[in-house]
Amino acid sequence: MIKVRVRFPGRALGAMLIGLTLVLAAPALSGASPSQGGNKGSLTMGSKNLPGAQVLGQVYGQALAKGGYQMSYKENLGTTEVVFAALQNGDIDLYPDYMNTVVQFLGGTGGADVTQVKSELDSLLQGKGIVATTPAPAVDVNGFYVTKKTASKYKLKTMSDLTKVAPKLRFGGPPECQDRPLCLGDTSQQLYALQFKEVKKLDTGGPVTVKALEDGNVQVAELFTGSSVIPKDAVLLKDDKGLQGADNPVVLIREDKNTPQLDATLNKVSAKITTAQYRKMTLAVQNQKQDPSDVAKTFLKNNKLI
Amino acid sequence: MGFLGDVVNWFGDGSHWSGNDGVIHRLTEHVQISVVSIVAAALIALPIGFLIGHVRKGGIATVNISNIGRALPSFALLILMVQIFGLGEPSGVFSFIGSFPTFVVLVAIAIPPMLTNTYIGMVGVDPEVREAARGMGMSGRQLLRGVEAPIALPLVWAGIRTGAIAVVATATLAAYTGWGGLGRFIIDGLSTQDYVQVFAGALLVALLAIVFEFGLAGLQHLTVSRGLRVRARPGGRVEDAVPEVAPTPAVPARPTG
Repeated sequence: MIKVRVRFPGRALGAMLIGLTLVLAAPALSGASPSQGGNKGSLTMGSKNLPGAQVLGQVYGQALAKGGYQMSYKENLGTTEVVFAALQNGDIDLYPDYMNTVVQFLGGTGGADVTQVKSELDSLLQGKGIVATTPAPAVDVNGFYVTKKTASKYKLKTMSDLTKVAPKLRFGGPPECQDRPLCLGDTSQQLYALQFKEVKKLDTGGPVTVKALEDGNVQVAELFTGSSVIPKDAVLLKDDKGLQGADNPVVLIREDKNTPQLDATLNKVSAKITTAQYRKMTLAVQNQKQDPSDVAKTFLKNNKLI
Repeated sequence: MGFLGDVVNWFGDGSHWSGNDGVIHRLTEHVQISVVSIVAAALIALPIGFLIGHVRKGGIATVNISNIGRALPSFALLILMVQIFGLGEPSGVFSFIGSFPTFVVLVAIAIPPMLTNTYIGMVGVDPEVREAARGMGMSGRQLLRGVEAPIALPLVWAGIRTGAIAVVATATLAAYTGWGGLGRFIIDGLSTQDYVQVFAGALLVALLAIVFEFGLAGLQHLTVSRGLRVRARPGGRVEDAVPEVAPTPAVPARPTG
């Protein structure tokens, strides 16, 4: 559970193992056709510097490789500012990003409604030579969680249900939560007016918050839907008034590289990326330090996409 | 001057001093958990140190076992304790402990310097002095209480002071488990990029550490025998062996964090 940012030994070992496997497997592979779709040209996939974004890059990239594209990767490039510029320059041909994030980066307002945010994104991208795929269902946003026991005791299903009972409950979340509009800050107060008995400042979607919820030190906990370990016993309260942005993954593609076939391949993959699947992959990279390409391969195989 | 000016203004703002999130309350919490942890660590470390120093057996093993407390990263130990005890905020009689996971971490880092220095202080007692005391017909207990412990005391105090400084600095971690203390200013400030508040919190911790250092030095002055003080009779043999002022701790101060 303790984050140790020493990745290179694991990576190096992984690379050695992959190399060894390739050497051993080379004779077996040489006869087989490398792809189903024949050669459709080459593409360079970029990715942002987040564990989840790196997995997404591999997920889409490996699916395209299977579809007959010659893939190369430029991973872990940076934030949207950096990677979007690389896409515009043609350093990369496509990369996955998060819809609401891109909309706000391009000066739009964004919002909670997936359809609305998508059309805003499409209009913002017009004239930039870039198109976006249909968003995947996953979102990694602030989630307000309670235990099943608390949910049934107070009949909680939505965030609105919480407003009335909040004064009886303790809340645990990141130290900055009360300053953040989407946590307990102003926008959140306008929509839900949550006034808890006590606000415990814990860690940012990490083990302390999880443990406090499990132990009942707090009854409501703020965790990240797509990148926190969610206790088995926890229930996500529905954001019924649309506080959290529609930050669903989309793939941004250079228009000159886009084809209906490419779009279809990517959308088929996106349809399988649910929040639960996305969280599983993110945690495998972020907490268990697995290699993003291995994690992506497992996901694609499990969903019969490769 | 901009940043430091902001810090000065931060301290000048009365709203930063009062209330649950105010300096006074956080300072009280910080002193509370520090004192409780230092006392608990001393109650564990000093008797063991005096005992193994007196019988002169098992010293190396004991000191090495206690050093595990220094080897474990405090932050890792804290998260481990949270996994075991949860937020661990005792109510009722034990509420003075504040945050149990933090308490465990602080005791663990305070024991090694206290235990090691006590042991070293005891072992350093001149064998001739021990022989003389024995020759006068002193029992083991009388020897320990009347001769060895007083002579070892300057080094014992050095251990307590070293441990105390580490405790005051590390008690900032309590904020990470949702508890208070001056660490709140640092951790909350970091998560909202309010670096003025971070600096103010760090400054308060540093000042508190200095206050503890002076306070404990005062206590040392009151308890160490006059004949063992360097300034009392410079040039004496015993005094050379155990200087009172800034004794070289047998264990260097632990880097905190």
